[in-house]
Amino acid sequence: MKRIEIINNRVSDDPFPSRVKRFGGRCLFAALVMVASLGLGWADSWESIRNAASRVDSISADFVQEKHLPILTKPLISKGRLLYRRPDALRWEYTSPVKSVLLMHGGDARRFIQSDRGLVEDVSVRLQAMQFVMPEISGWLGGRFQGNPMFDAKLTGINTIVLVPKDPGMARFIQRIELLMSDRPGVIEQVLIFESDDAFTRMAFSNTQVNPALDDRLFQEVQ
Amino acid sequence: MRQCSRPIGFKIINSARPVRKNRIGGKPRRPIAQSKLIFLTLIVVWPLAACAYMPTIQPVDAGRQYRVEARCRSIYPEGRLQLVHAINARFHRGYHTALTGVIILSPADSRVHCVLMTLEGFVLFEAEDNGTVTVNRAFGPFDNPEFAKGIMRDIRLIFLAPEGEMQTAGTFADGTEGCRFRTDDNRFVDVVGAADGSWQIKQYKPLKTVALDALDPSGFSSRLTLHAGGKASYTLVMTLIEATSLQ
Repeated sequence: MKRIEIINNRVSDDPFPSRVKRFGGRCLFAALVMVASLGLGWADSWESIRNAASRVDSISADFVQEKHLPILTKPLISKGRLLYRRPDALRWEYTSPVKSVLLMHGGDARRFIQSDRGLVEDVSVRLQAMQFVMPEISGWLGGRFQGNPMFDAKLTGINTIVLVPKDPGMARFIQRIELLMSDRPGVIEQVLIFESDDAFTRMAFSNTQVNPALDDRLFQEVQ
Repeated sequence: MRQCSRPIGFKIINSARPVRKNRIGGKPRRPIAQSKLIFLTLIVVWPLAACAYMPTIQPVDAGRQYRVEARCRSIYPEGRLQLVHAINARFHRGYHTALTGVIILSPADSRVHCVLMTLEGFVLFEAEDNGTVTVNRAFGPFDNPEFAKGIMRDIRLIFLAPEGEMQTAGTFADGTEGCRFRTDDNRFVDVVGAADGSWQIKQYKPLKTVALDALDPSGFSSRLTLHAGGKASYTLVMTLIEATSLQ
């Protein structure tokens, strides 16, 4: 695999106000719900979800993301792959149309984006957000949706979980999230994130592997 | 035709070295004759410096001028259009972030509709501008009226022909051809075509430049870079993902 230059822009003083950081944290938090849901499945009761989730230690999947907006003549399509390893390692990578990589490991989160100078770090995502996000992910991957401080969860229809934000700030951002489970335990088919009734993101997963061996390097290095 | 601008003159005056104080009495040490000399120099240099700020366009014959004007206008899209860009934003001190931008342009009635979202697809900002900017959705740092106005100004600078008169069209000293617009709000905008097919749009006061790669056969630049100078400088590199006619 071709190695891509990383330009590290970390400096001691930070130009982004705390408002930006909080907002970035919220974006990241919402987005991570999609990732966490990958580890679920076989969802006809909370107990079966917890049972299926308890057997998931790592996940690898490709995804196609469709963005639907009223002003778009056709949805915007992005592609990429996700890797997760319990308890706190994540690689969320877009390969098209714009390359970007979000890496989380050991409580640290960094995102790199394509630029004319190679992959450069996006400091708006370099947050303390992981202090509260990772415990949430662990909870979700453990199938513990009930009692979650951020979302009300309910099982609806066949193999579908609906998450509704409790926090008014989050509710302005995300109306609800629908997780559609595959027949295969521990595997999800798609995630729908509704920002409003006519604006939503659909993520469809494929080539999902449960419990693959994932090297540390995948969560620490952009390559 | 030379165009002069006052602000550069103010900058020259402000950049003059501060007068040092005498150790005793605190009065200026600079003799009166020297002050007069500086004043006279400024009187002479100010207009020259201000004029240098905006390069001269040499007039050309009527036939060529017509062609240059047509070329300048050709960089602006016609008809209702949807553009999707990957936007790489670089702020002063080298900080980066990435966004996806959707722009709907209606040049005929000068309307702009803009959506900015994260790479993950979350809409951060949505606004329309039909002469008045209306923000439909804005979060976090994007929830600021000045930001909304600023981004609409940038979109108009890049994609819509300046509203106002084309003051002149001709050649610059380096041989490149271009046009100068004087907008209705009294700004000057140059549109300059390079020999390699690339273009530059330059707005004076506040200084912003847009560098566009050569237009593709369908009339769009696949990559453009907007640079805004000043204290809060920023650079937007916009890579075209798709362009769709909405006619």
